[in-house]
Formats: sequence, C-alpha cells, structure tokens
Amino acid sequence: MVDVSIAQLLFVSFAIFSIGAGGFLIRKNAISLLICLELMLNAVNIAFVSFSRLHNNESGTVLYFFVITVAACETAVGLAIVLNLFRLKKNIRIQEANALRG
Amino acid sequence: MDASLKILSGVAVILPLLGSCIWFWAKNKIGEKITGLAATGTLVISFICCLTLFWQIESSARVEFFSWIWMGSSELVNFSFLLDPLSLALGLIVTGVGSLIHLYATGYMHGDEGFGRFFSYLNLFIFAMLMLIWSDSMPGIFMGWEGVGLCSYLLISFWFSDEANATAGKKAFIVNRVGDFGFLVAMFCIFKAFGTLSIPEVLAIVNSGNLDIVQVGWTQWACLGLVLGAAGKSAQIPLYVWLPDAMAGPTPVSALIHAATMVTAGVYLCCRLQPLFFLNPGVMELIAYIGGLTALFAASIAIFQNDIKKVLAYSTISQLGYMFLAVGLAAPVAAYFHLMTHAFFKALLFLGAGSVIHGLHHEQDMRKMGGLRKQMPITFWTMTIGVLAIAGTPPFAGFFSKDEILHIVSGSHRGLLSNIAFVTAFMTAFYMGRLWIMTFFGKSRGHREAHESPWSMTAVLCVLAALSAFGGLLNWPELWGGNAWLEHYLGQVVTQMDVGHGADALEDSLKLAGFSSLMGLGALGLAWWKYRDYQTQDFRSPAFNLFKNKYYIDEFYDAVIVRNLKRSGEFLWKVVDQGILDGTLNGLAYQAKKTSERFRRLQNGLLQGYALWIWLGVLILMISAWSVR
Amino acid sequence: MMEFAFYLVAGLMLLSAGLVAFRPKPIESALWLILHFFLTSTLYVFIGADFVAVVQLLVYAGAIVVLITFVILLLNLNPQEISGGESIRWTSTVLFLCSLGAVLFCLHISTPSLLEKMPAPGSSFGSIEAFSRTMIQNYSWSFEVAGFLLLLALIGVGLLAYRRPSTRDHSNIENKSEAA
Repeated sequence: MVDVSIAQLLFVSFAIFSIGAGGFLIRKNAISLLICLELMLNAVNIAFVSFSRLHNNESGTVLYFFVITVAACETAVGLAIVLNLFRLKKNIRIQEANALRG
Repeated sequence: MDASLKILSGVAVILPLLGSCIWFWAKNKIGEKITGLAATGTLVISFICCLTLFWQIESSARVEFFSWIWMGSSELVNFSFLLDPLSLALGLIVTGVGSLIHLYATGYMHGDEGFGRFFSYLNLFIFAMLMLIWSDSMPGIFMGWEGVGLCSYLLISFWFSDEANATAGKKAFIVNRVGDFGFLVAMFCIFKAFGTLSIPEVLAIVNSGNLDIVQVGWTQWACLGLVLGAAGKSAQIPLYVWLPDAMAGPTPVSALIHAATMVTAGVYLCCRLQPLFFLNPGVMELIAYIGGLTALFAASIAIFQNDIKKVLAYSTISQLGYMFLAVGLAAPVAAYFHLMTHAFFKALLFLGAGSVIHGLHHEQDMRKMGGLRKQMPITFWTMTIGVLAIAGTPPFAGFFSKDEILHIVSGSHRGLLSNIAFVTAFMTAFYMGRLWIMTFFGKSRGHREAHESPWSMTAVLCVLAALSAFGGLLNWPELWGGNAWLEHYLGQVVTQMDVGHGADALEDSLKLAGFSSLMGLGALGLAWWKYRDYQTQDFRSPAFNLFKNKYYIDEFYDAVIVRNLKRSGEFLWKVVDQGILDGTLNGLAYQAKKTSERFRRLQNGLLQGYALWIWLGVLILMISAWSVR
Repeated sequence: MMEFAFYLVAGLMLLSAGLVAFRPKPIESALWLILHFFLTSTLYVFIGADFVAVVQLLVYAGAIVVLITFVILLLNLNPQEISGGESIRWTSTVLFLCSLGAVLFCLHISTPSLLEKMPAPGSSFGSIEAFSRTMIQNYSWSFEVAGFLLLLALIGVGLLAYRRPSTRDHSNIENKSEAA
C-alpha cells in the first residue's frame, strides 16, 4: 500500500473526469462520446473508492459496484441507440441527431 | 287542511308548466284541436283549484313547499306561497281570464304554424304569473317577474320572421330590464334593512313599528326601486314606451298579458308591500303623480292613433295610470277594484278588436274599417258593452271602479290630480267612442267582406261582456246601500283611505257619480258628432302633430339614450376592447412570441450543447454551495 | 519508491485518458481505454482495494470495452466518416477546464486536512468478505434493484437492436426523417 493523501487521489479523479468531459464536449461521433462517458464514470469511481479507503468504510466500494452496473447498462443501451442511428442516417455523427431542436 | 291547500295550489301552478313543456315538445304533432282544448283544460283546472282555494281560505294561509335558498344551516328563502285575499283575487283573474283567452286563442290562432308553440308560451306565462302573485318571498316574486317578462318577449315577437315584431320584443325586454334593475335594488335594500326576504316577515317587522331610522332610510330606497320596477312592468312614465310596440304580438297575447294580467303586476306589488310605502309618504306622492301624468299623457296620445290595437294599448297605459294614482293615494282597494274590472273590459275590448282584425284578415287600421255593425253583430254588441264600461257609464263595471278612484282623488284635496283624473276620464270616453264609431258605424271604407268570428271567440266575448257589465257588483259601495264586498275582503290585508260616511258623503258621491257619467256620455256624444260620417278626415293642424307623434318620446329616447348608448358601445368596442384590451393582449402575445423565437435557438438539438448547459448548472451549484459554507 | 510508482501510474493514467479522449479514431480510443482501465486497477491495488481492482479488470476491461470494440467493428465505418473536421469547441473546453481548476483550488485552500496522508485502513478493508457483508446487509434492496436494472437494459437493448423482418429499405426511412 502507498501512503497518499486524499487530495492526490481526488486530483487524479478530477483530472480524468475533466479530460473525459472535454472529450465529450468536442468529439463528433457517437461511439467516442460513449467512450468518454466511460472515462468520466471511471473517474467518479476512483473518487468513491478513495473516500471508502479514507473513511475505512465499505459503502464506497458498494457504490462503485452500482456505478459499474449502471455503466454497463448505459453502454449497452447507448450502443444499441448508436446502432439504430447508424441504420437511420448511415453515419454516427452526433450533430445530425438533432430532430429535437426547437 | 294544510295538505289540501298544498296540493291545490301546487296543482294550479304545476299544471300550466307541465302543459307548456308538453306543447313545446310536441310542437304541432298532436293536432290543433287537442292542443287547444287541453291547454284550455289545464287552465280551467287551475281556475277550479283557485276557486276551491278561494272558498277554503278564510283570510290568509301560507303554504310552504321546500327550503329554496339557504346559507349553512340558516334558511334564507323558503319556497312557499302566500295565499291571502290579494293573491287569491288576482289568481282568480289570471286563471279565469286566462282560460277564457286560451279558449279564444284556439279560434284566433287557427291554422297558424306556431300553434303549439303559442300555447306553450301562453301556459308558461300563466305559470310565471301565478309564481309572481303567490310567492311569499322577494326572490320568488322576482322569478315570476322575470318569467312573465320572458313570456312577454317571446309572445310579442311570436311572429319573429317579421323584423318589426322581433324589434318590438327586444324593446319590451330591454325597457323591462331597467325596471328589473329597480326591483333588484329594492330586493337588496329590503334584505339590508330587515335581514330577510320573506314578505310576511318583512311586513310583520314593519307593522310592529320597531324600526330605527336606518331601516326606514333603506326602505325609502327599496320603495324607489319598487316604483321603478313597477313602472317598467306596468308601463308607466318613464318606461311606458314598450307597451304600444308590444301590440306586434297576437291579439290574445295583448289581451292576456298586456291588458289584463302582466301589466298589473306593478300594481299588485305596490299593494302587496303597502306598509312599506306607508313609511315613505314622499314615494306615495311620487306614485300618485306618476300615475296621474301617465293617465293623462297616454289618453291624449290614444285620441290620435289610427291602429285599433294602439288605441287600446294607450288606453291600457292610461287605465294603469289610474290604478297607480289610487295606489299612490293610499287606496289599494280602489286600485284593485279597477284592476279587476279593467281586466274584464280591457280583455273584452282587445278580444273584440282581435275579432274585428280576424274578420278583416289582419287589417288593423281603423281608417279602413267602418260599418261592421251589421256584419259582426256579436262582436259589435259585446264591444259596445266594453266601450260603455271603460267610458264609465252606469251601471257597467268601469263606472264603479273609476268612480271610486275619482271619488278618492277629489277627496284627497289635490287639485291638480283631480283635474287630471277628470280630464282623463273625459278623454277616455272620447277615444273609446272614436274607436267604436270608426269601427262599427258609417260606411265601409275599403275592406273586403267581413265575417263573424267562430263560436270559440264570440262565446268568450259574451262571457267577458257579462263580466264587464256586472263586475261592478263586486264592490257596490256601502254609501249606496251595497255591501262593498271587495273592500271588506281585501281590507283584511290592506288599508284603504277613508272616504267618509253619512249623508254629506252620500250626496257628494252621488254628485260626483252623476257628473262623471254625464261627462262620459258627453264625450261619447262628441265623438259621435265628430266621427259619425268619418271618411278620411281627422284633425288637421300642426299642433296635433305633437299628439300624433306621441310627443316624440320615442324619438327623444332614441336621441338621448339609445344613440348615446350605441355611441358609447361603439367606443367601448372599437377603442377600449379592440384598441386597448385586445391591443395589450395581442401585444403581449406578440412579444412572447418574439422572445420565444429568440429563446428557442437554445434548444438546438445538439447533445453536446445540452451537456455544456448541464455543466454550467453544476458549476453554479458548486459555487453557491461553496460560498454559503 | 512506492510514492514514485504512484506518481508514475497517475501520470500514465492522465496520459492514457487524454489519448482516449482525443485520438480521432474510435478504435484507437477503445484500445487506449483498456490501458487506462488497467492503470486504474493498479491504482486500486495501491490504495488497498483489492477486490475492486479485480472487478475493474473483469467488468470494465473485459466486458465493456470489448462490447464497444465489437460495435465499432460491426459498424465498419469508413475513415472520413469517423474522423475529420472534429468540431473542437476549444472555447467551451477551456472554459470548462478553467472552472474545474478553480473548483479544485477552492477545495484545496478551504480544507487543508485533505492533504494529510490517509490513515491505514482496517485489516479487512478491500477483502471480498467485508465487501459482500456490507452489500448484503445494508444494500440488499439496492442490489436487487440494480439486478432489475440490468434485466431492463437487456430487454431494452433487445428491442432497440431488433430489426423488423419486413424489408423497409433505408432510403425510405431516410426520406421520412429528412421530411420531418
């Protein structure tokens, strides 16, 4: 085990989250968006596990477990949607999926 | 006892309503004969119920049906009838004359396509009228009041395909609304003053004399409102203008509603609430002067009318003026007596006129009549009795009732009013003589061959003629050795001004009677001299144009009220409604649209754009959470 | 020494995350994501969460990334469809990163205690036993719900991916969507 402070772990978590979010904001194809989403969820997981370690409490890890459940669901459903988007538009450019614009 | 009263009065009221619904629903499907006879039958049954009630009830009875309006647990208005001499006498007239006129109408309306509808309205009218006179609370009376107004409107514009008839109906309705406003104000004031709308309770409070000055103040406003309401319904100055136009309706309607029953509702109301008026002598005075002026005014117009029904309409207004005069001079019995005899002879005159009109195929202009004496003998003789009755010739009914009013007026020491009353009596005799002579005497002027009316009409004329002839016996004055039955009967609920007893009074009253009957006969003679060989000549002088054009009152109202109302309506419509209100709303809507046009661009459908907004929101949350820490 | 290893792993994690986020081709992103997950797993080992580290490898690297890769292969996109003309909203991204930095800075100055080394965990921390005890005792209801969520996702994906046997050709649908 390594002696680290919670601030260091949180910095790693925040940094990865920002990179993922930045990618989410600028990427153009839908699959990349999903990947960036995974990245963000992973960053959040790091924070959960770190706090779990800090407080010596397993609840954080339980939460991690639920997050990966949700992530798995989200990936599966998201990919199915991407698949349909591709069938409909012949591409997966997220800018073209704007049927709900005002 | 009580249950039987309940059943009788209930049946008397409900039957016409039921009939009305049936005739309305059935239209003409069940045939003229059945409709007419059944409608008359319901009225006859109502009449019999009234008669039974009349025999059964000693002085007065209150029949409660159900709680009508309540607030929480405290009852405000009970739906109940007050059956006392005032309401029973009028109830008898309404159902009695009503059934006669129904019978008449089966002949008069024969072949009309609105036959069923007509009887439906007529029955509905009887229902509303009974509600009006029997209800013991102001809201109940008001319901009947509005009901008869509605029926009046429906029946005036019965032949609504003619624009003029529809307009006349609207005019009647709108003018009556002004009166209804007065009635409502009176109702509110009474409630404010006494905390109840039940008439017996109000009268009990008033009669007990425990009134403070504030309550008396409220009753003054109530009385003024009632005067306005009564003037509207009973066609008095300043709201009389609707009644002449109301002659657009079928003649039985004019006879029933606009001569015998509905227009007397105002008189009834004033008699019913007499103690309230006794508290306000000023208002009584006002009523007397309104009545006197209306009587004179309408009589002077009647002389110059050529439409037979218009003459009778103005005559009705004039006679109603007499009744108001009597009411104003604290002589409700005299008013009531005249109301009853007037119901007989004016119904007779209207129905006679209707018979003439029917015989001449809807010709109403007297200048085109003449010489009908031979062709319509029954109509002629019955009309003669009616004319003599209204002219105040002894021993017909009108003589007694009018003489009583004249007697009271001259005994009241109001010089102006008694002069007006006598002049009006003279004019009445004159214009009735004119009508009678122009219609039945002289040569025939341009009408086709006339025919006598069917039995259903002439029989009714005969009955009414008998009533007009002998109706005076109802109140044969005690001074002349009679028993003054009506006076004693009504005396249980109203107070009559004393006209004196003894030899002096007898001499006075005999002088007066002699004078007034001579005057009536003189006026008839004058009319005979003037119109005996009438061709097409009438009074020709610029001064008479004023009378001919009914003092230009309609024109005056049109210029002063109707035009200005229209102009202000136009202003409200064009400027206030379309300009300001619509402008504001449309402007708001336009601005909202513009703003949302701008804001909808935010909703660009780009996933990442939304993500950015979410992030901004989270950022704001984090900053605020950190700053409040 | 271990300190250095931690910084190395953390640096590599940031680097791989950047490659995941900004490599133009999705397939490259997916591959870098696998590396990233491995590094994350290492980090978990460093802080003593052994079970979590294993689950991270099995579920994330083993299942999710494989799924993504599989879909990328299935779609078989031509290169210019995927890359090219990325709409880089640099302004918003910079704004975003700056605000994140600000938040971190605030966190840093407001709670200095965060910088202290974490105390040693209990002896059972990170073991399967401790984890499952907590899970079953305290979160059994949530656990059931999570299972139900997975079931729903399964059905949803089946419905979404299901292709009707009747041959509705793409051009038709495309026209419709154009019209809409």
